[in-house]
Amino acid sequence: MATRQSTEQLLQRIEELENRLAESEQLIEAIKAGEVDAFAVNTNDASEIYTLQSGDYAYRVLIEKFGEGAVNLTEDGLIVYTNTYFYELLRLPYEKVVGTSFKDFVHRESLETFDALLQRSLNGSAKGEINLKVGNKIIPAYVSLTSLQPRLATVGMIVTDLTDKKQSDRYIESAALNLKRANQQLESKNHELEQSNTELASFSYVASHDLQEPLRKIQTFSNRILEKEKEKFSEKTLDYFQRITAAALRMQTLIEALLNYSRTDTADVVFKQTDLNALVDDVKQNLRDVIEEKSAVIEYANLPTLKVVPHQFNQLFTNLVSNAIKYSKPNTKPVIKITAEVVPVDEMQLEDAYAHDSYWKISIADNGIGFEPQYEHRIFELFQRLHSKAEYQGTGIGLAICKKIMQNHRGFIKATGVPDVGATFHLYLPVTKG
Amino acid sequence: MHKKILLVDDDPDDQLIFIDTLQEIKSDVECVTASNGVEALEYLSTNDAAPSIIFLDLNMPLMNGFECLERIKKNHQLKEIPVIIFTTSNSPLDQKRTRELGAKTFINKTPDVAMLKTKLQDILTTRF
Repeated sequence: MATRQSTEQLLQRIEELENRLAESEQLIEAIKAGEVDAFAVNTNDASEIYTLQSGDYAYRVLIEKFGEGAVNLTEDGLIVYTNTYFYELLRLPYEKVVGTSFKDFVHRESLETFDALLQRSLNGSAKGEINLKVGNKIIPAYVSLTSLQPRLATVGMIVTDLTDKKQSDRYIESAALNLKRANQQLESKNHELEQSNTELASFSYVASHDLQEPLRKIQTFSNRILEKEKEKFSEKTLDYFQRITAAALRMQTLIEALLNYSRTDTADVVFKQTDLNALVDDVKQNLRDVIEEKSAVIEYANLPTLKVVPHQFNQLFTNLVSNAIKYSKPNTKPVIKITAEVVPVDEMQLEDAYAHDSYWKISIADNGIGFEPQYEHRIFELFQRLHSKAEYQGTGIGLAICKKIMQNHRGFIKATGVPDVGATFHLYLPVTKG
Repeated sequence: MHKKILLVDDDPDDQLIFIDTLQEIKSDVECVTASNGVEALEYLSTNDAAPSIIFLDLNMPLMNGFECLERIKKNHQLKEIPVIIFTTSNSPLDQKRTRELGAKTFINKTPDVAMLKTKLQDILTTRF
């Protein structure tokens, strides 16, 4: 009978069961250790392969070593798993974190936000920023929650510590604020500068304009006296009187030049495409008396057409050409050569070159008395003269006007001179595209 | 006929030069002076014998030459009197503006006394 088994048979059965139990325990240990990816089970001589749901070892290691917090929560917010990063972030051991409600680590001001995120994540996923509290410290964190339904009734959560980012944000914010303040200061300084420039221009305009009035009176009454009383004058008185009128005329020239200088950046400034060949033709025409008187030769050809303020460039070339004639050598026919070429900025070796790739370089070279190289900057300063009035007449304003005109055109002017050989003035104008 | 000229100018030196030059050309012309637009209009409104010509400076206190000119040309009793601008300004804009307002001639004040004499002579010959 089947129920009446021998003791021997029973012992054999126990041994069999014990072996199977040992096998099962080994299997469980292996599964726990993550050594099993799949196992086969023999049933009725057919083997079936089972893979483990939690058998993806690679992913588990990845999560464990992850550089951000990985937490598994129940739908009520109880922590069932945390990786090393997260419990270290909380400065608590694993056992004190697992089993605790995540809300215990959320700053009270973020509780509402977190509740809302958790609720939303139950239907899929939710992301947001909250503050965690660790002891007395607040850790800003970005959390991304994903429901693991329907497989598991838990929510997976990735926690990113935003402390560093917030700190950088604050640095950037404060840097931006400082930059804004600096810009505002710069703007106001610019405004002040503009204002004082305008004031200066209007001052010199008004000053020279009002200076003309008393001068005109001196000249008018001198003329009246000369006209009416000239015959009664002694030779000495007549000489004195002529010196008075000559001085007054010089003053008039100075004031007019000064007015011209102050008008250079205030008066109508309209840029137009201008053929410099035609412009120099005009200048030659205007200066024909002095050109004829000194038998001066002006050579130029193939000058470019540039976008300039025509009347300012006319003034510029008039000043430079008449200077070249004025400072010619006695008994030498003045020869003035005007040439133009495009030069790349890096070949110019000029400290005040602006940010342009290339410049038009227009040179006006003469064979006059030249000047010592040490004066190449001084000659462009207002009222600076290298010669006595008896030697060469001049106001000391002409080249200052040239400099200002070039500045108005975003260019600049340079001069080189060799005594008794000649002077060359170089005009640099940025080459504009289009 | 009584020959009368009104000179409106705030500058005593210019008044002196003007009157002296005028006397050299025509000593029988009476020159009345006003030193700004307000004074000029006051004179014109209170005197029965209107001047034959008005010489008008532009830059003056209280009422400048432009406004004075405009008021003269809007007044039916005065608008026929020729107005000649006598100023230090040599601005083409000022010339254009005063011409539009009805001024006949524009004389620039310069130290050239002979030039002023010639111009005055021309004006007076055509007028008187």
